[in-house]
Amino acid sequence: MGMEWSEYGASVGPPADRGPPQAQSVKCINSNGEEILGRPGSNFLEREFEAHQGRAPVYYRLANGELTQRVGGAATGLSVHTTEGMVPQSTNCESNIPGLFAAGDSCSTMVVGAVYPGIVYGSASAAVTGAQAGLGAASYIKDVPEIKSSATQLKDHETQIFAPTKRTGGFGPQWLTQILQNAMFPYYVLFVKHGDRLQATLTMVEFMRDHLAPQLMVDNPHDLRLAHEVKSMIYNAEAKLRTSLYREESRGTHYREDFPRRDDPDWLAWISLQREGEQMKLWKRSIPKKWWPDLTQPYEKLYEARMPGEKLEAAE
Amino acid sequence: MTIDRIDRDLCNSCRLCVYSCPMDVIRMDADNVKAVIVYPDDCMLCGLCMVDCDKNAIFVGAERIPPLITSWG
Repeated sequence: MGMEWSEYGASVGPPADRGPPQAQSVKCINSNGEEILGRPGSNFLEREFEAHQGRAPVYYRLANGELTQRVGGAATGLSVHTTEGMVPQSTNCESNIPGLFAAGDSCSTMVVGAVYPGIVYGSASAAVTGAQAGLGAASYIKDVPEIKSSATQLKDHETQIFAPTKRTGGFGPQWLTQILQNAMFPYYVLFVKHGDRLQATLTMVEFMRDHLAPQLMVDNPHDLRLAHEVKSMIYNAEAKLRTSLYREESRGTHYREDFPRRDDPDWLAWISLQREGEQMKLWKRSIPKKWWPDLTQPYEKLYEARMPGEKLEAAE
Repeated sequence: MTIDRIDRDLCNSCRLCVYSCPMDVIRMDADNVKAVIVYPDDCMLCGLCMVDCDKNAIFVGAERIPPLITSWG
């Protein structure tokens, strides 16, 4: 009863009454002209599944019947919107770092799945979190005394910030950004994942972090901003790769070819990630038990949508 | 096409577009009189400059063509 890659095709779609609404309304067309429907529990991964099977490019069909330009993984943000970023500690969108507030996609409000109204509506939640974070930050700052930094601290920061302007040789930030994006954007890294590919990409990202980023060189303020931005992008890429490696199961938009099953109750959990020295420390946090599904139900009833390569125990 | 052009005749030198661009795409020209496009590759199509311009002097295209291969095909 398990589905192999070879069996996966346009005929697989969600039951009519299941899944988040947008998953069933977004229709894509693969290179064979076959219609691809979203499937509950695998939010928009269908395009990547099609690509993996050699049926790319994939197009959207518009209401007038015409096809859009090609769509692909690069267009979807490399992660589930609003499940990345800072986890808000209150409706003020404050993070667990005092004084740091987040909004939009950088605020992990979990506006995704059935509560996500649909493509292009992200600005609605961004506007709400932006207003809340702005008000929260304004309120917070009122009670914060003026912060004094020592001359040494200021000098250290200045040295760090302007280091790329002092180098006479090295790498440009635009080039490093392109190298990083070329490593991270292909669908087979963060959409159709596999431990081997994640580890290979992580190795390259670590090289960028340790060897290329420390040699960034710029000659103007515009590029200096890009230099610091790409260092943050490398950090972000490392976090995504490490958490993807850590979660050895498939769920939602996290699909691992080498672990295609949902793993309950072991992975009814979030992943927390924290800096520890120069390392990223990861650990698992169980979700509240009251949110657990009814695990007495058979697996195949809990999760009607099969991930490619997933075997059901009853069938084995 | 990203940010396409800024009409010099319409630009009233208010600098709103320079301040509104989060990507530092627009600067004032050498004479500090008119807004000019300096870093078009960094335009992310947010349209803030176009929205903020009282004189409708800025034209932004509908799509971004990134200078790299980001996806299959």
